[in-house]
Amino acid sequence: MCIPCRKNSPRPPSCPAILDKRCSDVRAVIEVKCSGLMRASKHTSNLAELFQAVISADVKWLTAKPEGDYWMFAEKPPHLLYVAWGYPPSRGAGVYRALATANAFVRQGWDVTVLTASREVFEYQTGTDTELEKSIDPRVNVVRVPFSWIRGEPDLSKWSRGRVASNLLWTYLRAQKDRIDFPEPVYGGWRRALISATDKIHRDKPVDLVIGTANPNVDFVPGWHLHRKARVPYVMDYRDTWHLDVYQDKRIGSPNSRSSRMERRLLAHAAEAWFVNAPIRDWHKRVYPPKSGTYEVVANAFEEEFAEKFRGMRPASRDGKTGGLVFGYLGTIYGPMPLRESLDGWRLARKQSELVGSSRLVIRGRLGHYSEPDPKVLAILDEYRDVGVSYEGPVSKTDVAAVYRTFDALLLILGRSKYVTSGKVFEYAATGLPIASLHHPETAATEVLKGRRDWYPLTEVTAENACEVFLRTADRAAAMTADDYAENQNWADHLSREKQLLPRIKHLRSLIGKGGAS
Amino acid sequence: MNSSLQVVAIIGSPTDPDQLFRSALGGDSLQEELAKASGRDVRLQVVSWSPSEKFPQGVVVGTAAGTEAMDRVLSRIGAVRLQGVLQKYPAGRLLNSLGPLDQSRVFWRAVQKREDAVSVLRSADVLVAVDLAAVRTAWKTRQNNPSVAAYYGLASTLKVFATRFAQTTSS
Repeated sequence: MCIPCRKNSPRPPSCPAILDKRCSDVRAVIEVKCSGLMRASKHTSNLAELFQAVISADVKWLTAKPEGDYWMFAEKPPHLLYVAWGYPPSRGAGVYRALATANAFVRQGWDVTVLTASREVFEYQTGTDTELEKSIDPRVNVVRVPFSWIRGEPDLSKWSRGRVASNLLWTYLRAQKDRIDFPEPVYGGWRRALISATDKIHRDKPVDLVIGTANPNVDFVPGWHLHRKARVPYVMDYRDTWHLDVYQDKRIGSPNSRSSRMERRLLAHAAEAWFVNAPIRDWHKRVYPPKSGTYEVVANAFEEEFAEKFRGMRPASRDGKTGGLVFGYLGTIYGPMPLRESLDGWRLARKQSELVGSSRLVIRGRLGHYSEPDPKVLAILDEYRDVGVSYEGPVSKTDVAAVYRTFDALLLILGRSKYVTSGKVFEYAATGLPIASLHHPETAATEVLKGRRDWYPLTEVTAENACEVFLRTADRAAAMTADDYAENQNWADHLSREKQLLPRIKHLRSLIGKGGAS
Repeated sequence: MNSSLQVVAIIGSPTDPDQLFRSALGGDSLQEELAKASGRDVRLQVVSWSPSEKFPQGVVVGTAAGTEAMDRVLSRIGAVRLQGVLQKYPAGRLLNSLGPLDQSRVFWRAVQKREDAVSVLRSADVLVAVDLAAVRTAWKTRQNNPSVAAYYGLASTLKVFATRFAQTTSS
């Protein structure tokens, strides 16, 4: 793009947007290149006027440096402050979106500072994925802000008698205390540290745009703070929802609660709000009609590098297998998922099919949100060990593709909700493997997979239906060819991260060039 | 000097201990991971509610449950049924967590009934409460012997080992 006139190339070697400026001297010496660089002779008689002419062009960010007989002017990259409590090495489910978004902005020429929690929080509590940390673009500046987590103290000598008496009560009381700073349990107490860090970052290098990704919703605070203080535009990225219970389809809390009022205020001034699917966006449009900005869908997606690892995949590896297939689930198991119905269906299918009877069902990922696995889920999985169900632990993000390649078919087990897409559905789609969708058809992931071949959805969530889906998926998985995989992979192209994020990045760049939202 | 450490992992819930270890560590062995993190020889023992295939020599206390007088009384007066009802509500769960049928209390009572479990806990240099139900036992044992280190969570303990115990070696 030609920077001064902001039109798409090709542009003439000299740009009218500059040449129309008032300094006749400047008129003679400035050259504009459509690469984005401007060049001006250093031997002009009026240097101040030369600079003024350049600055008054429609370019918001400029750097100037002398080079030989010329001043070289270039567009200075805009500075994005990206706020994400969960960022690598955290291995939380939402971390992939945060990682990908920050990297995408850097690749599009932005300076990116990520504001996140101190690494000890992840090391002690959520668990870490150090391999994932290596995926952070080295140009991203990561600022870690101390965060005192409610579950945070591993040393039992520091646990009070009251906490040992009832960790539940202690946690509840602590959550109430956190709410004083910001109306969000557990994370609200982080507000002050966030604001202090934000001020320092803005002082050192002025911020042009803030994106907060939630939850936790306290991540929205720096955007709001800089907007009030310096009119910096901000984007609210709703990875999850704040006041919508996506499983019950009802509002959480009163519309007049402190947190609801806060959300309304924040959305009213946001340049953009991003949602992971259209049903969630539409709910927010209805409850909080957009004022200054727009509500956009930025779906969770898969990374192009991830999809590349499946290109050319062949079923040859099956030839050497004497046993059955490997059905795989990869993801976090939490919330109201039809796990038991799925496993009962599996048990039935094993009785009805020799192929399924000799197959295995492997579960990989985390059980619950914390580093310690949810004992209830573990107990359920234990009950099905005798029918080839095994839990084989969490997987580093960098090993995810390799693990998928050990599977012959994938299980998409999700809670019923018209608002739930999940992140893994995109990865599942990218692999090209057959997918058994073990969730209610109303679940939003259905919309993502509609039209894909080798996709076997439930008509209703019962063990009998799940059994039927297992049987159909198994038959197909055993017959898949390299061409079948390739066709499915091509179909999924529209779900890549690039297709989701680039339009937003381009739009935001032009938005801040115009001075941001109100 | 490479002095060895006696580590006792405590699992208070009825969950299969092997599943818990696998979930936190993947296929890695806890003993080896602790030794790697600290640079010291580690002897690992397990005190758990349920039996473990990987630690057949561990002390299993679930079998001793219900033999305590208090457990018999609670069972007879219908407290177990009441706990089940309360568990359905947030306030009920809060009440349960303060009551005598909270799993951490039940586990602690069962441990006290077993001399071999008490002996293993007393011999420890480091106690690891693998789950929340094990915290009370680790905490109370440490109260009786403050020279013992006690931690909650496998991930946290590995992290602590890499700093605290490795430093001890070098000093």
